[in-house]
Amino acid sequence: MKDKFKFEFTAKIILMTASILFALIIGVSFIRGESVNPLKNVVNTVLMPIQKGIHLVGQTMAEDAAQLATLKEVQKENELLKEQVANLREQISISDQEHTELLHLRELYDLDNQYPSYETIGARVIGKDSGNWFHYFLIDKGAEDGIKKDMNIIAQGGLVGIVTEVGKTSSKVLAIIDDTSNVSAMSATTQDSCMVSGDLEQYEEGSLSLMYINKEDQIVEGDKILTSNTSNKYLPGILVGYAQNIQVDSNNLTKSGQLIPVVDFEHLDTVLVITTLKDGWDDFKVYEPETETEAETGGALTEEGQ
Amino acid sequence: MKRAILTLFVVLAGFFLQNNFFTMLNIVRIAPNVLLVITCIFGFLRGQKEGVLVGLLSGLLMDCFFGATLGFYSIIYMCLGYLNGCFHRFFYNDNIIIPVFICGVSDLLYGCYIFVFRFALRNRLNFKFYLSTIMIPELLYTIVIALLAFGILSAINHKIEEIEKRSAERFV
Repeated sequence: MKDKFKFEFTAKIILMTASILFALIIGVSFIRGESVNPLKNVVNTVLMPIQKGIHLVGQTMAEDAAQLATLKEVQKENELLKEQVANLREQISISDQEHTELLHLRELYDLDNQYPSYETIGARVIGKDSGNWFHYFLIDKGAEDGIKKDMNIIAQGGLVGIVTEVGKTSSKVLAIIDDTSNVSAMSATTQDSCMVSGDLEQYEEGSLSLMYINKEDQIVEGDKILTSNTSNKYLPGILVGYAQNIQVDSNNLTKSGQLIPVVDFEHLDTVLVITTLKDGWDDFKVYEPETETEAETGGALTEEGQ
Repeated sequence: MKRAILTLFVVLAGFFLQNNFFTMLNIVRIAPNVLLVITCIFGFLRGQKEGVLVGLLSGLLMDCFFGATLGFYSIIYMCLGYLNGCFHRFFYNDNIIIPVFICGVSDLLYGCYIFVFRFALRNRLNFKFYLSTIMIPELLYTIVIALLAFGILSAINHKIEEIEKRSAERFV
């Protein structure tokens, strides 16, 4: 027997209440900014190990496929490999020499000091947003490893993005190629400032858009673009990419163009998190001398006046 | 109870497939929307209520990991689960065209939702570009996944229904 007046959770009621609740949450977070979210943290910590595992599975898929090759092939390969080993040993000794030469040349070019020595933590990319609209990814280091919001991420010698959310054991990173990303940057040679912003349309061609360059500025094709000294969240002097197709805008005041990033975003596996945070405008406070001294000087002034 | 646990398992598996597996081996930078397929098919197989609940679960997962604000994905997934639930009465065991078709339509709706709220509102209005480079490839990919997923999920559904029937008979 079913109670006639028993309240039942029908699909419509669930849909309506949950939608209204979420709309409220979205509304509140627009006004107050993203509040700390305990649910996110719980889900993150619970699912994190599984994600790591599945990521590994995805990565080793190719290797596993190779392992399925029959034993005969493997044996044949073994013989070939032995030959190769001999050859490679020879090559190694040659490349060793070349390596030392390279080190020497690097010292000459001072490439080692390309960046001021920021301290970094290595992290592994363990998941990506389903990739089609946005370019967020997850790394396997979180608050427990000392990651904080707004830390910069680099890889392959260039800027990758910025930490936007920190969980207990993982963090979310916004890549600079995302449509919502903006980085204030400058040219390495002339220090002219500009803005690098991600654009889905341009990223189809593998580039980002480079905007707000003064018309008189001397940025030319092939110029190195670095993060700017005046950036609020990005540390200065990190290589972002190279300028391309610089043209004067229709407003005849600014120039804009494209930027080819140095980082290959399609094959990001490990990244470096810079643990130094930039002191931006948000932390900027006008220096106020202590009240006592102020009172004294005030008193002295009035005395002088008298 | 069994059904609830199994559903949770399927959704989690779908989430991991989508964000940890397919994104690693994506073709032309596009990954299929597995969670959307699961939500739609559950809605179609089991009706509105289950569609909404599965949608809520998948939406929350997406929100927790990739959402800008909690609720953005949940709302669209729930609505799609509800919509697909409306087509429950057209469900026959061997009819595969309708579920795949509504999965495709749902994916387009999902794309439009993201376009409107995350792109058009920021004055990125080139709908044609987003349609041709993101929505259509994702649609095709999703349809392929939907074909596979419908077979698997309807088989699972069939099994559980049998088990439930048996245990119900035992009590009679």
